[in-house]
Parts: sequence; structure tokens; C-alpha cells
Amino acid sequence: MTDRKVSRRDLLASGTAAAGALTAAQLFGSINIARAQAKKYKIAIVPKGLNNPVFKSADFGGQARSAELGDVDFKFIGPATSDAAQQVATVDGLISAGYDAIGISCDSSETLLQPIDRAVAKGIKVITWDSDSPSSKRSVFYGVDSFKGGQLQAKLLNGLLKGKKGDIWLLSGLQSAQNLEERIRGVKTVLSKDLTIAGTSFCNEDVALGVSQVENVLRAHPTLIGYIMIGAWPLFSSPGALPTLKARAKTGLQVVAFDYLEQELPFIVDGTVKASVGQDYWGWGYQSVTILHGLLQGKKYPAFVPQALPVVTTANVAEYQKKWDDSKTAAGMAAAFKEAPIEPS
Amino acid sequence: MRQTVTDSDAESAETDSPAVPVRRPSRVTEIIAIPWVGVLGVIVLLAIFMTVKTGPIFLSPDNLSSVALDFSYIAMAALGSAIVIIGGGIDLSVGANMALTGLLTALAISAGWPIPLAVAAGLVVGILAGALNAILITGIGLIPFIATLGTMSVFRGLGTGIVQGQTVNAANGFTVIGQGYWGPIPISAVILFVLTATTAFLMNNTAWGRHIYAVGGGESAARLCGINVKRVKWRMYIAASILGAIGGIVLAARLGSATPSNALGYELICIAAAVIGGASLTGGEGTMVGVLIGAALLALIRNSLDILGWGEYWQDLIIGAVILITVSFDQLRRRLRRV
Repeated sequence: MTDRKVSRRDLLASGTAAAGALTAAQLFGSINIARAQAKKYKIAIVPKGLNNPVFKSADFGGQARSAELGDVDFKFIGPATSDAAQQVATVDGLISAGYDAIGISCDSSETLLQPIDRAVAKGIKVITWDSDSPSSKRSVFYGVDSFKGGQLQAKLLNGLLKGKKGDIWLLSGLQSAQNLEERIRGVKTVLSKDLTIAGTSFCNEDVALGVSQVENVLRAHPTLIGYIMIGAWPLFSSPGALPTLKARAKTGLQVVAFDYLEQELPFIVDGTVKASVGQDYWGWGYQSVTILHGLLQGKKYPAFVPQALPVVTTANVAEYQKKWDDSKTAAGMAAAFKEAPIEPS
Repeated sequence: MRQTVTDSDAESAETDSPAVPVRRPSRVTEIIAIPWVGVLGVIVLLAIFMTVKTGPIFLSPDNLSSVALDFSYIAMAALGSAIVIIGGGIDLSVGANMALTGLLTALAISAGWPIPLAVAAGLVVGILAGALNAILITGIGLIPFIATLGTMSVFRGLGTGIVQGQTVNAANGFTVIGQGYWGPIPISAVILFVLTATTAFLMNNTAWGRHIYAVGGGESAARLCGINVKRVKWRMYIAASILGAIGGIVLAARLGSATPSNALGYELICIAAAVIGGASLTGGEGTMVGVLIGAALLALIRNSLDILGWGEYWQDLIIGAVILITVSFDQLRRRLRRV
């Protein structure tokens, strides 16, 4: 072992190094503080499929709320077409990418159960919107009460066919969709005893197939007096595509539909569809981001936050047409469909 | 009617050897030998059953013209699928091609383009789609299943990306193609019959079509016969895409709108129509008339189930079962023919 004298130069060098390290540590710390202050919550909204026009409104709504909040890094991401397996892959990808919160419109309540629970187990805040996965560990479901939506459709048809007896027909999309089956259940509980459901068609959410089924059914059943469209798939065409429906509506057939998307409004304007029960499409994104952001900040919400069920008829269809006319951009839609953010409980 | 290269070779062999006594098949055997005769029989049985069950609704001109309106666009695309199948290939991108071409045509129309120009633009997109399939298959050497599986996703994704998932409205004069009638006959059905007659003529009476049969019957043999196999494949994939594009444009006109999700899964319906109509998935066999009848059967089954109000939850199963039964009977017929 050798004895070593500590020179003044060594002392000076050590002091300089210590001061430098301290400054570096302080600088690093302040950067971290600034980084923490600038932290943005990574929030993703996952629709069933990007190809469904109804979900574009949710994208715009999410963008609008994220811009208002200022501390949200917003992502609208999902399968190109509705597919539960692809949606599972999307959610797993978001978990891996370290998202703080995810809102999902579940393609299949059971298939999405496990990825939702995986995300929750990793501390990610998860809610469902539009279509729920009730057995999962999601915090909140934000959407319409499908059962009540179906009941409202039946009540509207009861009113339109007051005093009449006869057969009606139902059109739905997929047999496996929980929200659609709930609407059908709701219809059946409230439908007048004078009205009999002669049959139900399922169009696989395919517009062309829906058009074909409505026309076939009306020709085969000339005595039908009512039609309830559990979803509006055939109406995403144009009035010219459904000549039999249009003609029969003029001679007494009463049609009640669901949704008030831009494409279906001409059917209400020309009186083919007498009433349609709507949902808050823009709110799917706007309020989902509100709720997820609130949950990340420790706020509480009830397990089910219901949406309103507005009814569009010939009396107020012009108002909705104007809303859609003004909604060509995210900012335009925000102005047209503006609503107050949901408050925590 | 000559169905396969082997058959035509056999025929020429017969004419070259007059000394060998040849037993000519009876008229009945000749009729049974036509691949789509069995399918036509199923349609007749269906019509009888429906008439007994529901009265005159099924065979009413109103219902039949409506069925023709609804199956025409699928049958147009199925003609293309059959050409590829006869040539020994497969095209899984046809449904996505229909959606993309319909979407872009509708976009052009909504942007104010004259209808003929918008339709021409849609057809050009169809040609480009077919060219991409052909490049991947003949240039890069991908097997058709994988190449068209990839382009199916590319075409569908391209449509979704361009319109961001939105529906494009095309409800103006353009819709006459898909909604209009000439007397009691839908215009789209007339287009379909013209396309069927044209493709049948090309496939049966020109080197263009006979080379497709030859390549489907055996690529190596076709090559040895001096046929440019790559060129034949280019032709058949582009022809299939053009027919798919026409189907997509007619579908958009039928609905008066177009969405990226239109024609979802139609590739399988087109393949089913071709196979029901007598096309062999091993290539070299099939007719355009058979495809037309195959597509008609599928449309009539769906129409019947709608009219009957049967099988709310079982429609797909019933349709699948009818496809399997029809194809199984056809297979049996082929075996009996060989015995």
C-alpha cells in the first residue's frame, strides 16, 4: 500500500467535480419535475370497427374533449372492420404500449372480458361505451340502456298504430350482439297486445342484405302494418333502394327505426320512417374521455352512466339535418353536438 | 359443350381415329353431363316447394325481378372469380375490390364528376387492382391465396382510409344502373346477362379463354403447348378485377351509397357460386352459365327464407347445407359419369 499526499490541485478538482455533479443532479431533477408537470395521460378510444361511419363521431368527440382538457394524448384506434378477435389484439397492443386509460365499444362482451381484465390488472383505467362487457372489471359503462331503447321503439309504434290490430316485423343485425338482443327484448315487453311480431330478420349488419330482406319481407307479407328496425342498416342506402318500403309507408305501413345518422334522415324527411330513436354518437368519444380522465384523477362515477334517447321525427328532423351539415369537421361537430361534460358522482 | 381441355383433346382424338367404333352418348347422358343441370334441378324443386307453400308470391314477376336486382352484382363478381378458378387460381380480394371501386366511383360522383367518367374511374381502379394481383402472383411468385389475401386487406384498408370509415352518398342519376328497370327487367340484370354472354363467348370460342382452361388444366402442359402462362394469368386476374369492379359499381348504384364495409365476405359467396355452378377448384373446368345459375340459387334460397320467415337464427346454416348438398350431388354426378 502506498501513502499518497492530497495536493491542492486534487482538492480543487474534487470540489469542481462535486459541484458539477450537484448541478447535474439539480438539472436532472428539474427536468424530471418539468417532465412530470408536462405529463400527458395516454387515453385510447377503441371502436368495434373503423369502417362503421357511426364511430367517426366518437373520434371527433374524443378529439374535442382531449383538446379541452389539454393534458390528454388521445388515440382513436380499432380494427379496420368489426371483428372481436382483432379488437382483442388492439387492446393488448394498447396495454403493451403503456396506455393509462382505454374506452372500448365491445364487439363481443365475452371475448373482450379477458383483455379488459388484463388491462385493469395492470392498473389501466378501463370503461366500456356503446356496447358493454358487464362481467368484466371495467369501471363504467357509458351508453344507452338498450332495453329501454327497444321499449321506446315499441311505444312509438304503439302510438302510431293506435287502435289497429295486425302483424309487424323486426329487423336486426347480428344474433350475437347483446345490445341488439336487449333492444328486441325491450320491444317485446312493451309492444301492444294488438300487434303480433310475425318474424325477425337478421341482416348481419350488411346494408345490401338489409335492403334485400326488407323488400322481400314486405312483398311476402302484404298485410304487415308495422316495421321496427332494431338498427338502421337498410337505411344507410337511399330511398330509391327501398321502393316497396317507400310505397307501403305511403299506404299505412308504420316504420320505427333506430339512430339518426345523416344517411338515414332522408327516409324520415320523406315520411317513410315515422320515428327513430337516437344515441349520442359524439358523446361516445367526448364523455368517454371525460370519464377516463376523471378516473385517472381519482374521481368516482357510477358503474352505468346512461345516455339520453332522443327521438327524431318529421317534426324535428330539420334540426338534426343541420347538425350533420355543420359536422363535416371535428370543430364543426363539436359546435353542433356540444354538451356539458359528465360530472363525477 | 366443351368443359375441359381433356375433353376437347378426347374429342379431337375421336375425330382423328374414325376406324375405332365410338359409342355416342345418348341425349339424356349429354344433358346430365352439363355441370349446372343439377343446380337448375334444385332451383326448379325450390320453385315448386315455394309455390306449394306460399302461393304465387315466389314466382311473381315482382319477386323474381327483385331477386335479379339483388343477385346481379354478386353474380358479376362471381363470373370473375370463376375465370380465375378455371385458370387454376383464386381471388380472395374480389369483395374488397368491389367495396373500393364502388366507394371511389361514389366519391367521384359526389364530387360532381360526370357519371360516365366516374364509372370509368372505378373501372380503372379495378384494372389496377387486377394488375397488382397479377404482379404479386406472376412477378414475385406468391401463391394466389396469399397474394389475394394480402390485397384483400390492402383494398379494404385503402377504402377505409380514404373516407375514414364514412358512408359516401351517391343518390343521383347514377343509381339507375342499380335501381332502374327496362320494363319489368332490372337494368343491372341486363348488364349481367350481357357480361355472362360475353365472358361465355370469350371463354369457349377464343384462344383467350381456351388458354385459361389450358393453364387451369395443367400449367406445365400448357407451357409445353407454347402458351405464355404468365400472360394468361395477367389476363385472367385483370378480367376478374374488372368484373368485380363492375359488380362494386352496380352495388353502389343499387344502394345509392357506398361504405368501406360494403361487400364484406362476398369473395366467399362468389367462390361458392362458381363452385355450385360447376367450376372445379383444381382448375380447368367450369362455365359462365353455371356461375350465373349458382349465384341465382344462392339468391333464391335467401329470398325463400325471407318469404317463409324461416330460420331467423338458422339462415346461414340452411344456406351452407344447401351449398354442401348441391356440390355433393354434383360430385356424385361426376363419378357416375366416369363409371
